[in-house]
Parts: sequence; structure tokens; C-alpha cells
Amino acid sequence: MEGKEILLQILNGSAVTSSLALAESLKEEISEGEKLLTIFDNKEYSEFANKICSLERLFNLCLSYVEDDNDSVLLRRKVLAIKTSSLTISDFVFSKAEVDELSKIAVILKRVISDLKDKVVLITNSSITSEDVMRIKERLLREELFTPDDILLTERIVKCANPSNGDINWDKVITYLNEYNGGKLKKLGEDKLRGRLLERANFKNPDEDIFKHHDMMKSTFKPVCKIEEHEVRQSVKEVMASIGFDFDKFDKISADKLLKCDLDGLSKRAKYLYDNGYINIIGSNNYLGVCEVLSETSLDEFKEIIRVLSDYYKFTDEDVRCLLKRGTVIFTKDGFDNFKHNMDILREYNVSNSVVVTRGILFLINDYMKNKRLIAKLPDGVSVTDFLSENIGVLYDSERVLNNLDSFSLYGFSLSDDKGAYSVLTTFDLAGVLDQFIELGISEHVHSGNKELKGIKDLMVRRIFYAFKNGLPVWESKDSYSLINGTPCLKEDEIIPLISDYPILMYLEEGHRLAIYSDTTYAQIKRKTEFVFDRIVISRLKTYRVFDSLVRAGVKPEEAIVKALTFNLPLEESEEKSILRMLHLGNEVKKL
Amino acid sequence: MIDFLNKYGLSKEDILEIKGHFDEKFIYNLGVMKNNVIEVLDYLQSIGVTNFKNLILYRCDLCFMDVDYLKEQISKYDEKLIIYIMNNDICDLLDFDI
Repeated sequence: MEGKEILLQILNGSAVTSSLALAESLKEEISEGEKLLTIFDNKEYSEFANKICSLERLFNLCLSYVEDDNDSVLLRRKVLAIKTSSLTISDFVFSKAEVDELSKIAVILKRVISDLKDKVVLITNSSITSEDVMRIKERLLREELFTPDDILLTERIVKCANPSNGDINWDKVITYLNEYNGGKLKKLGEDKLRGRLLERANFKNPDEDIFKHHDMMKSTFKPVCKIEEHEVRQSVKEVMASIGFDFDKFDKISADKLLKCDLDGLSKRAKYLYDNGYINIIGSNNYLGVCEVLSETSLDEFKEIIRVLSDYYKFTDEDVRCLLKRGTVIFTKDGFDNFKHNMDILREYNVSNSVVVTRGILFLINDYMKNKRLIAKLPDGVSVTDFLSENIGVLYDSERVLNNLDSFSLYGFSLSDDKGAYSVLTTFDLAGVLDQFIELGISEHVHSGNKELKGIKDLMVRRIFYAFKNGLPVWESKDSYSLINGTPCLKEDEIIPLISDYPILMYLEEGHRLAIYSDTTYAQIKRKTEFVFDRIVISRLKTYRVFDSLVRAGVKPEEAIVKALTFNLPLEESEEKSILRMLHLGNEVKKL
Repeated sequence: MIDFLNKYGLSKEDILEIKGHFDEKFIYNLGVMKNNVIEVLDYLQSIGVTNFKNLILYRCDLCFMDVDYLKEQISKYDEKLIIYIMNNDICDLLDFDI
């Protein structure tokens, strides 16, 4: 049975009246009992015996107070015998024993009356009057808004009418009342708005539909009291249930977002998304995703997004579905604005839609200003189209790419049109890779080709294959990984103040940098990037990068320099000692 | 928001590290598009990938990739090699154009 039917049945039926009648009948019993006690007190024992037996319910009630059943039966018999004797024997004289028996009943009767009075108070307090029932009935008949007091009273009526099913019935009735009040509130809001608009229109043209271009519900009123909040919540709950989502499972932030939506719009959006299969694409259990689309865009905006994707950007229906599934945030007002800027960048450089859809989601949802800044910093000679097409997925970490571009230049490389090898620029720790090439003695080889990126990529791939085949780690031990790897290289104008802050570094600069005996570019690169300790080559840029990170982390300079020189460099003990001796840091070996 | 990652062997500490590594918006997006993320991670788990923390930290773009496209890319190489890379230093995957 639905809430409305339950409420009407309770209001019209006997449940309430029986509750009221019970209280009334108890009051009558109390009155009868009190009369009996007066009779007893007046020592009219014959009448007392006669009346108590005729008031069968009250008599039984009194007897039920006797704890022992046998005593109860015995007392009944004795009182009945006294009644019979007093009625049949003229001039009957009550013996003391007979009076005692009757007084037992009188004592019990006092307790019964007291208990009945308590019961009446209890029923009266928790129950309702016929006036209360009439008040609620009239609210419904006149189709008036239920106030918070009305709702509380209705709850008492429903629960009092059928205590055993009170909670279940009340759940259904309150659902009905929420719908009932929701409709009234909506109409009230529209009427108020209509009134205001009519005032503004000064009734110049009463026939004109001045509401035509207004979305009435957009000016919706905010819930002002608990009951209204409850009604809104109930309605949103029903909307979400209609598309297969349990509102109670939304996290608090999402739930609040949905509650703030205008109900009419939310309901229409939900229906449209559900009917057109978009909810399934986002995910029938994806609460966050569904909330995002429902709360952050209007239906018109959503339809417009779909239209623009198809008509303007020429995405196929399948592409649109992929974007919705993997880039749900694009289908919101702000997300789509950002998306359009990013698409403009991609269209400017002729990046195909298939690249965008398969790998470019993060680029599309990344802040377009970041994407623009990154592209603006790409050096001349780089094919932006190839660069974007190859790396579109990982460009969200633009800082990494920019650091790598700096490193690439600091290590003496120049970028050229290296199609197919631009992924090198997105390497997580490119500087570390280049350090290893220097320390392995293959730097000259890397610098020798025209396509330096391609050369580096080939070497990296070969190294990975070698490591895989031989079960070795590809690059280096991961000690201090988070502290060092990925940190940017120091530029010359950052190295100079570091040396003046830590004079110990002077030993390196004065004694272990290569003197230039040739004016070739590679000779200059070697002087810039290498320290030489006899036959051991150590990356200069690595040394400063690691040293800087370590001293910043509080490591003593004497220890930091040793760590920096030997970082990721597998040396034999004799080689390490030799390096330290050359640095006049022999004692540091023992410390380490 | 991203507690669904527990299923891939990530501890609470790992999830905290991931939350600290990215900005709030990114973490939110990971939750919003979780169905695709789950599809990708389920697939990678099925072929033997275990190092999901580094995958999310350093190659989270894979989570937003079309899973069929990802399968196609991986099928170009010896699957064992790709799993080896993913479980060791996932950043090297870039050199295989994945």
C-alpha cells in the first residue's frame, strides 16, 4: 500500500478512534472503580459485592493482580458467594471474614485505579485528539502545505494508529508527504516568480508569455528548514534511483553537489543521459563520474558539447563515447572550455583525432595554459606535430619535459627533427641517463651522429634488452632515488655560486676538468660535462646536481662530495680510494 | 576517491604517496574516470604486472588509455619484456613507444 493510501486509511479509519476510545473506556472504568470504593468506604458491603461482580472486566482485572492463581480463584468464589448470600438472605449480616475478603478486593481495586490512571495519562500524552486528526484531514482536503508541526503530528497519528507497523507505515507516508509538499513548494516558487515578473512587466501586455524564455526552476528557492531539506533530499534520491544509483552511496561532496542542483533540471538531465545510454558509458557504478556530469552541466550544455564534438571537431560517435568514458570531465562546462583550448592547440599542429582519442586524454583535461607554455618552449627545429603525436600521453608532466629540454642542452645536445625519438625528452631522469653514457665512455659516440635523440634512444633500448636478457637492472641502483633522480641539472650560473659557497669543490674544478687543447665543439662539451680522475670519467653535471641536493638535505659537504662523485658509479675500492686521495679526502673513505 | 586501487596491492601508505605526488584535481579525475582505470589495471594485472604504484606515479597516462589500444601496443613486443620493464623501471616503456 502506498503512503497516500495508508495515511487516508488511518485518518478515515477506526485505528485512531479505537486508540481514543480506549482512553475514554479506561476513564469510565476508573470512574466506576472510584464509585465502588466510595460504596465500600460507606460500608455498603452488599452493594459493593453485587456491583463488583457485575462489572466483570474490572473484577477480572482486580483478580489478575492476585499473584497466586489458586488464591485468585478462591477469592472469586468467596466474593461471588458473599454476593449471592447478601442478595438471597434477608437481613444478611456480614461476618468479619466476609468483610476481610471484600476489603482484599477494595485494596486491589485502589491499585487497579491508580494503574489505569497512569495508562490514561500515557495514552493521552502519546496519542492524538480527534481535532488533531481533523486538522491533518483538512490540510489534505484543502491541498495545503504541510508545516513541520503538521508532519510531526502526522507521524504521531500514523505511529499511534498501528504501533507494530508504525515505522514502516511512517516511511511510506513521509515519502508521500515529501512529494506532496515538493509539488506545493514548486508551485509556490513559480507563483512568486510569476508575480515578480508580472510586476516588472507592468501588465503592459497580459497575453504575452513573458515566461517563455525563462527556466522557471533556475530561480529555485533554497531549502530554508529541515523539512524542506528532507524533501529535496528525498526527491534527489528518487531521481538517482530512477537511473539506478543509490543516493546514499554518493560521498558527501558529491551528494551535496547533487542537492544543490535545481531539481527539475537534474531530473531531465538524468533521464536524458539514462535514456540515451550515456550513464552506461560513464559506468553504471561510477558514482563520481555520474555526479560530475549531472551536477556540472545543464542538459542544453551537454547536448551542445556532443554536437560540437561531432560537427565541429569531427569526432565519430565511437570517439565521443570513448571521450565520455575516459575523459568524463570534458563533458562539464569548465572541462569543455578547457578542452576547446587544448583542441585548438592540437588542430593547429594537425594532430589526428585518433591520437587524441587513444592516448591524448590527459592532454585534453590538462590545464591548456600549461600545454601552451610547454609547446612555446620547444626549441626551433622540433616538429611540434611529431612531438605531440609521440608524447601526447605524458605531456601532463610538463615540468619533467622542460627539465629534460634544459638537460639536453646543458649536456651539449641540440634538438633536431628526430621523428620517432622524441620520447627521449619525456624520460623520467634523462640527466641520469646522459651521466651514465658519459661515465661509460660512450659520450663521444652519442654526440657523433646527426640524429642525437635517435642515437640516445637506440642506446637506451639496447641497454634495456641487454638487462632483460641477463636479468640485470636496466639503469642504476635506486639509492637516493627520490632525492636525486628527476632533479634538474644546475646551469653554469648556478654552479659558480655553489663553488664559492663550498670551496671544497674548487679541487674538482682546478684539478679534474679537462683543459681544452682543441676548439672542436666536442672538446668544449667534454670540458663542460666531465671530471677526469686518471682513467675514470665522472659526469661533472651529475656531481654538482647530486652535491647540491645532498647539502640542501643537510649532508656535510665532505661527505656529499664523495657521494656525488660516486653516485650510481660502480667503482672498485682501489678506484674510490684513488679518487679521494686525489681530492685530499683520504679520511672520508673510512667515514663512509 | 581512489581507494579502489587497494585491489591492486597498493597499501594505505602507497595511496597516500600517490595522493601526495599529484594535485587534488588529478586525483579527482582518477576517481571520475575510474572505470577505464580499472579496465586498464585489470588487464595489466592479468598479464603479470605487479608494480602498480610506480605505474600510477610515473605512467598514469596508461590508466587513461584505451585498453584495446594498449593491448595492441604491447602485442608488438615480447610480453615478458614489457612486464619486465613495467615491474622494474616503468619509465623505460616510453622507449618502446608505449
